[in-house]
Amino acid sequence: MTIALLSTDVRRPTTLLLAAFLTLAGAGPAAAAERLEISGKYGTIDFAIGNSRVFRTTGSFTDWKGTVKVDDVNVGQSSVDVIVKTASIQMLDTQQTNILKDSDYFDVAHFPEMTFHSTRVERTGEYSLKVEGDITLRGVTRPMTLAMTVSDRQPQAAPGARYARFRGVGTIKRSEFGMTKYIDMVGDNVEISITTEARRH
Amino acid sequence: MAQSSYHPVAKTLHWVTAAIVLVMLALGLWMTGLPLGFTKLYAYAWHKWIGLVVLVLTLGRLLWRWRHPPPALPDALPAWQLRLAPLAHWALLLLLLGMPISGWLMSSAAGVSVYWFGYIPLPDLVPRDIALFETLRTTHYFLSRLLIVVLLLHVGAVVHHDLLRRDRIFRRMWPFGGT
Repeated sequence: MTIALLSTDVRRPTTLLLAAFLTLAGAGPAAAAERLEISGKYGTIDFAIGNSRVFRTTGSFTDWKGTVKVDDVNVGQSSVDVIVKTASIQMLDTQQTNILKDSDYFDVAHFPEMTFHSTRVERTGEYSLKVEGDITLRGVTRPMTLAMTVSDRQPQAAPGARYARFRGVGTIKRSEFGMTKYIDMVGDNVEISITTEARRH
Repeated sequence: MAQSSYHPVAKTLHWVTAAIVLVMLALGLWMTGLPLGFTKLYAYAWHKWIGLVVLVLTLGRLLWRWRHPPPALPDALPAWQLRLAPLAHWALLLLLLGMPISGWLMSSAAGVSVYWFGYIPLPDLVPRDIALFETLRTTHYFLSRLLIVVLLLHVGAVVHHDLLRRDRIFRRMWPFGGT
């Protein structure tokens, strides 16, 4: 993703000219792409399990980090990668937390990490993106789509400072990852949301 | 002669609430210790649903009480009892509001919307916030213990008035056999 992706800067003739020049000169990607860091220090990954009206529960992961590459000139070159430490799962109480760490669910002893790698990034609006990717959980990889919104963009941010805020939401079916316990009662859908600051590398 | 008994509507609301509250306290104390499973999940769901019935009943009682004040206590009662009785009754009514409201807030803060009896979607009172959820869980716990204490006082007063003093105070709320 780049500057166009997240703001209206690209519409400025000078930016467009500059971007065109850099692309023509072959220096485009190196000059225009931003590498941003996201992590559990500056954001949250929350999820809600269940489409049941009787029972639903929520939780979050506290230890995770990732990289966002922003390429405004060629949005398709943008990417999102996230690695989540499954043992950092936190449910509403210790009992639920322990059950979700256990082998019926995240099996954190055997699968300490859960990952998301984007495969396709598409701009859907002035401040929104569609990020398609693969989520790997319990050794199973399945596609997942995140609807992302971007706010508070600071293209002039210094290294280490906040560059933008991202919020992405998507849904997976837990049965596809072998997590089927209580599926009749609680339901299969898991809504995942990631809300984070992205800091310039 | 002054009104000597509660109105049948007030009596009905009181006894229905009493029965439900006893069930709710038992359910609440029992369900938290259950292992996660079918029983526990349904126990929590029903606890929420019935708790909100108590909220509606209590709001109904407050409205009724506003229009139909309870019968005055006899002057013959000791002064400390004349002062303490209304305080205890108001404490109970407030706790019967505080319990379901803190429970509803707790569910909202946990990010779990309530579908009343599985059919009626209720609004979330606050957005998901786990720190707030922890605070509300503690609040709900302490209110429940306070409710148990005031209820014991309430039942203790019945024993005191009806068995020891035999002053007919309890008969004003007793649903059978008139006054």
